[in-house]
Amino acid sequence: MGILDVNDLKTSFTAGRHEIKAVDGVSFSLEHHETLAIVGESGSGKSVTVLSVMRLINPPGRIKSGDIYFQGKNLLAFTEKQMEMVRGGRIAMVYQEPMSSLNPAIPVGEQIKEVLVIHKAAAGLAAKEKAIALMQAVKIPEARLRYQDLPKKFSGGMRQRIVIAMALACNPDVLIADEPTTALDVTIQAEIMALLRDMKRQLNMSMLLITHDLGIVAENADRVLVMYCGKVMEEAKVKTLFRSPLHPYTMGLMACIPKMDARVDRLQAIPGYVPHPSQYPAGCRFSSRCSRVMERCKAEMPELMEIEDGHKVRCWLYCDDVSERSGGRDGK
Amino acid sequence: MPKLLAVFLKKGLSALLVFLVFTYMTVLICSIPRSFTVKTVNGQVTTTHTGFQILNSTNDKFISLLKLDMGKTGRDNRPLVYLIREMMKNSVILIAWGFLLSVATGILKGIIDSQRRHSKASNLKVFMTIIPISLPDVMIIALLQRLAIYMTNHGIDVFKVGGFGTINHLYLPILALSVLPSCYIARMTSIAIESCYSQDYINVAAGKGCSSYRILWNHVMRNVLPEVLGSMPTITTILISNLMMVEYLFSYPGLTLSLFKFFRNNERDGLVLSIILLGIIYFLLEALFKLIKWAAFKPVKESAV
Amino acid sequence: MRKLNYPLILGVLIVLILTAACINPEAFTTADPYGEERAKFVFIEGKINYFAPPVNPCPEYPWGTDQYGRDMKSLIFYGCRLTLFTAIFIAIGRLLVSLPLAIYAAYGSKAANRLIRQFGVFTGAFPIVILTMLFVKIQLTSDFFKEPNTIIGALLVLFGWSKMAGLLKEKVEGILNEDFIEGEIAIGKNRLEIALQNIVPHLIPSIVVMFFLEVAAALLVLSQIGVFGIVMNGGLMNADGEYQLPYEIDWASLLVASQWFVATGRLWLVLYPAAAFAISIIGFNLMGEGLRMEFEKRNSRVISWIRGIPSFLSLLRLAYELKHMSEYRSSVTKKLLFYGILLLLLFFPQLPSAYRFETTNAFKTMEELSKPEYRGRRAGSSQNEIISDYLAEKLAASGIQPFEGSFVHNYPLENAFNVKEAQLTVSSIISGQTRLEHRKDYYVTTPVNISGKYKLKKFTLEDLGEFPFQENEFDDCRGKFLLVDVRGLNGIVRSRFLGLINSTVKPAGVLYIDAWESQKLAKKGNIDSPAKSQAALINIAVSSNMGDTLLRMNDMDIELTIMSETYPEPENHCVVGYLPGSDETLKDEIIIIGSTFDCVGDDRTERFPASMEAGGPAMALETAGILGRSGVKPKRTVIFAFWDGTNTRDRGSKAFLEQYFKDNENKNIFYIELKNFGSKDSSKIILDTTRTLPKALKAQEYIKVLKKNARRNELELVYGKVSSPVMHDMLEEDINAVIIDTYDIDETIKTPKDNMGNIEQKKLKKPGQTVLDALVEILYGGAV
Repeated sequence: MGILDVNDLKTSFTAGRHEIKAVDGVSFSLEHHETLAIVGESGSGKSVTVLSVMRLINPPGRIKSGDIYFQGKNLLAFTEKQMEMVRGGRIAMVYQEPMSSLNPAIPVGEQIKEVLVIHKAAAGLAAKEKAIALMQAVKIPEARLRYQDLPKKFSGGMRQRIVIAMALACNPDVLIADEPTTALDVTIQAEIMALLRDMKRQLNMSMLLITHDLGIVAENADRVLVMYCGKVMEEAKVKTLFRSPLHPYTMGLMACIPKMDARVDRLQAIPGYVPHPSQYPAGCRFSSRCSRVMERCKAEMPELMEIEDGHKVRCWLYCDDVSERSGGRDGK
Repeated sequence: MPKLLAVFLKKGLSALLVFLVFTYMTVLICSIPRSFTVKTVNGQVTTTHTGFQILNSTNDKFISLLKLDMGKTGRDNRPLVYLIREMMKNSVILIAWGFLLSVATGILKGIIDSQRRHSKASNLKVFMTIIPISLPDVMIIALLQRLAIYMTNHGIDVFKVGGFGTINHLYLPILALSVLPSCYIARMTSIAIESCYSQDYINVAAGKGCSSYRILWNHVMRNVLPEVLGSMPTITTILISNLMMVEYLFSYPGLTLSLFKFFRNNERDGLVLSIILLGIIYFLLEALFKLIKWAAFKPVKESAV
Repeated sequence: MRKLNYPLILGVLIVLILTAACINPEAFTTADPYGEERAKFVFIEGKINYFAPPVNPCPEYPWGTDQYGRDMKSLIFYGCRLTLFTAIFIAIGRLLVSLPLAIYAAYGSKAANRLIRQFGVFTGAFPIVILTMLFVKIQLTSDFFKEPNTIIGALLVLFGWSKMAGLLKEKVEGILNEDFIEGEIAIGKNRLEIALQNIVPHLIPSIVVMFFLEVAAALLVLSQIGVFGIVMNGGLMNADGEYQLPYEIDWASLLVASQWFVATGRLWLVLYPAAAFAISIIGFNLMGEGLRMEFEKRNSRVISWIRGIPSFLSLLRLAYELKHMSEYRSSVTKKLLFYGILLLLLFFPQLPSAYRFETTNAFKTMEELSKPEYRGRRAGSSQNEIISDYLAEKLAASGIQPFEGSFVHNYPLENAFNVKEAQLTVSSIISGQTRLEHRKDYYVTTPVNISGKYKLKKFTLEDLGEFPFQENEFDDCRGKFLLVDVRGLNGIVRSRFLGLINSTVKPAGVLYIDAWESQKLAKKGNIDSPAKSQAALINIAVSSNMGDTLLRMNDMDIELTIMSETYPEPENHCVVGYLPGSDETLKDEIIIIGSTFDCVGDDRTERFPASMEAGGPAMALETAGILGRSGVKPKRTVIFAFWDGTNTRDRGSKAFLEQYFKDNENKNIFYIELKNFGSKDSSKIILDTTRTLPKALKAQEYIKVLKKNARRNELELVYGKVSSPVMHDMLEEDINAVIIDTYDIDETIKTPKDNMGNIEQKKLKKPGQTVLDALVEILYGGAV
């Protein structure tokens, strides 16, 4: 049992007549003190997954089914009040757009202090001191002076640090980082990721890291989840994934990364487009773009199967192997 | 501190200048005689009164006003100072209470309206915000008066339909005065709130564990109130034009009713003074709002510098 | 279920209904808005009740009537047009003023920015209603803009554009901040080009939304202005409180005096106009907001549809599609169908009228009646007897039947006379001789033949003494002429005074000073009237100026010679013919076409041919002729009446109605009066429907038929109140009556200027054809 266990989570959005299945049966387990990366293109459902964990899905979206166990308790059964205690206190989140993540009318120090006050970690002057300490911890220069400044006065990188400070204020058990560096310059990216690694180690947290950048995955994650069109396509340890990716999609992703030591005339891309949620094919959702597609792929959806220890994949290419190895067990 | 003083002085002087220009324009407009027109006499185009005559008359009156000589009424030769003492006081009472009532109800209604943003009845909400501001004052006042008469006929003698004297006479006019501004404020508020809720930092606040109550009051309203305050000049204009209708239809002895009487009797002095007093009320209200905005939302102001 | 844009749908629905009411108000309501309910006494269960407008909502008047007795429902639907047009005019005006200014200001022009800001401050502090009020009263605005609604509209545009300018300026600044503008500048476009090609197209959504919202705002201001009574759309009111000039209906003028209506329990008087305003404001606001919501959607069907309109209407594209017909078959068919329907609606072929109105005949009749030998057609003269025979002949010749056995109906006249010659001199020892000129300084108002010299004595109200007045108190007045000043006395006092002089004081004659030349035109008919009843003595009306001169003199003598001809046994000779209706079920529905052929007569030195006045009988005669000659029996009875004696107290119409149409409760009579036609200078015809009851459904239908045929014949109608003595008699018998007259002929009527030189034959065509077509429709079938 990990600190966070998600079982068959399904979250949909209703737009008029269409139902968009953003997350369609996702299961994973976040172990204590590990960094689990969720990788995928835009629209794969990774952000919606973590927002579902935080139960920040608003109408027209809805968590349809599944379980989310946090430290053994089912978050989906919590009342709103209980969730408010969890959010920011036990599970905290860092967001993608630092420029718009802070309230422009409230000084940054107050925004950090707010987390402490809500979760009763401190009050009044003590809370202010703690907030300043947090600002110093995330390496904001002249923290005491800048406590009263409005977000307007900070750059993107600085703002992200403040968001991180807000997230860490109450020593959460799980930190969810939703593409924390996508909107930042490359040099700042490295700094921020370093900061996150550092803080995770200091505070003994577990981290869910959402990204589309495989480079970041390689440097920061212990395990990886590859999502496509609302489903998990492959799950493995980082080293395993990079050394021997199984799913054609994963292989395609790897091939997209330009390598410094190989001669390439053209950049590789996965042909085709991500299908619209209302137009998912009946079988495997990657079938329209797969280079190794078979007839069966278009008709039937494969299950997520564990091929070797800790390495799962959802592909018909490997299902027969499994059923063979496990001696005729039902390969569906 | 001296910098603050300098800013104050500069703003104060420019406001005074605006007020003086306004006064002059008022006197000028009121000094144009009613029979003024352009005629063609023997093929030549002339005006019945020369611009020179009109300007002279204007200047005379303007200077006498500067000396604080208000003039007298035409009928009984009373000095017009009574206008300030009685009429202006009455109008100010009406405006003050009407404004407070409209702000309170307006913001409340705005918050309530915006809370329905998630439901499928968002169309209904559009109706609820648009229809109230589309009703002409005449209708609102006529209906209120009818209601009051109905209530009086059935023994509930709380509201008085016209006139002046007791506090009961104030209820309906204040209520009538506050309806339209309240709906405007409600609409402004609800629109501002909605646009606020669609911002990212609201989600972030939720992610921190803020309750919806806290989000509304600490995060949303802090951004909404300055916007609403910013639209106050429009509200003041609506208040003053509403004031005219209310005083007229309720026969409430305030500034605008005197204005009408002077207008009907073609008394320039009274007319000019009434308009200027109204203008003073407007400018004072505007200055008040600017002050509130500056004082309460200083941090926002500073960063804009 | 796709989420429909309900605000937009409701808004469009309301606006469409309003548009329909603007174009064709007749379809929504039965009554003409000008028809007035009258005050009368009604017996209910043996007790007299006074029944007067305003009338509560009741079955006959579903929305009640206003204080003048006009049907509220009709007022609202007919008033829609003017009110909406004014509001739209204001919105467009403000747009045209603010748009260039906003673009200038956004480009950075300090002057424009300052103008917008300062104007905004000024009009914020100085309420627009008060500003408008002040400027409306200045003569210059009414001289310049003339119509009340144009005045209000122009003033509201002038004072109200700053808000729109501010909003537009922000939008333009927003567009200028877009990156693509830099690109446009980079390729070398100048500011004007950028403005026209880039800014305006992007502004169109905002402009459209703002336009609708501005119309709503304008309507709101109009309602306020209405309450304060600034718009007086009813034209001028005469002393009886009646509207005189032609006027148009709008909603704002219905709201005047609102404050008293609620207090006196007449809520509906305020509620219906206010509700009309409310619904239209809501409609336009919803449309504006609905469109704004559509524009903000990413893929809006409404917007794509709107964007498709220019390409749908483009003729170039149609030509291209026609060339490649095979590919674009369905599109071409749709377009051709659309254009076809459009052309049909616009140029709907009118069926030609069943009967042609021959202006030549009417013109000839007018010429005949204006001949000098008829000497001004004074009632009671032998000339009028000749005229009546002439008319009777014509009627008989065209197949019209005599009414109740004969065409000519004679009724007695109390007296009838014409002054042929008059000379008057007043002299005194001190001032010498003063000669008074007939018809300039005095008029003779009693039929008299006199020649002689008399003493002239001044006489005042005080000299009359106290009641009771004994004849012997005034012995010193016998045999003398009295000079009496009746200026400033009100009507009742004046006639009593003169009456007493005539009956009790009994001088030889009276010179009374009246201010008749202060009226713009001294009309022969007007001056004759005050002393008409004083047949006993010589009464001479002296002008004000001359009167002052005489009053300054003392010890005066008067020498006068007056020769007037009185007509022996005067009678008026009305000519009445009719066509009986064929339909038994409609035998109680009667149409009367009336006109007057008598006039003021001629003087010795001045001719009053009264040609325009002859237009009425001429038109009636021609119409009667056409209908008679057609040989077709009408479904309803139609009576053609040519009145004599209208210009006297003993009107032919009065006597005729008393004789034949007294107590006509069961009958449904509709009277059309044809007055003056053919004037060269005026081509507007006025239709006075104020003497019809809005609840008289048949009468209202006939009025609609008249209006419809006027439209068909392209006759321009205005509406208002026209005075006509015959109307007294019609009202007396509760007959619904309309008058058709020419507008703006006051300067000519009853003066020598009303002669054949002033008549243009062409001008008779449209009104004549209209009346004929309307009659044909009413009498022979059609919609009625």
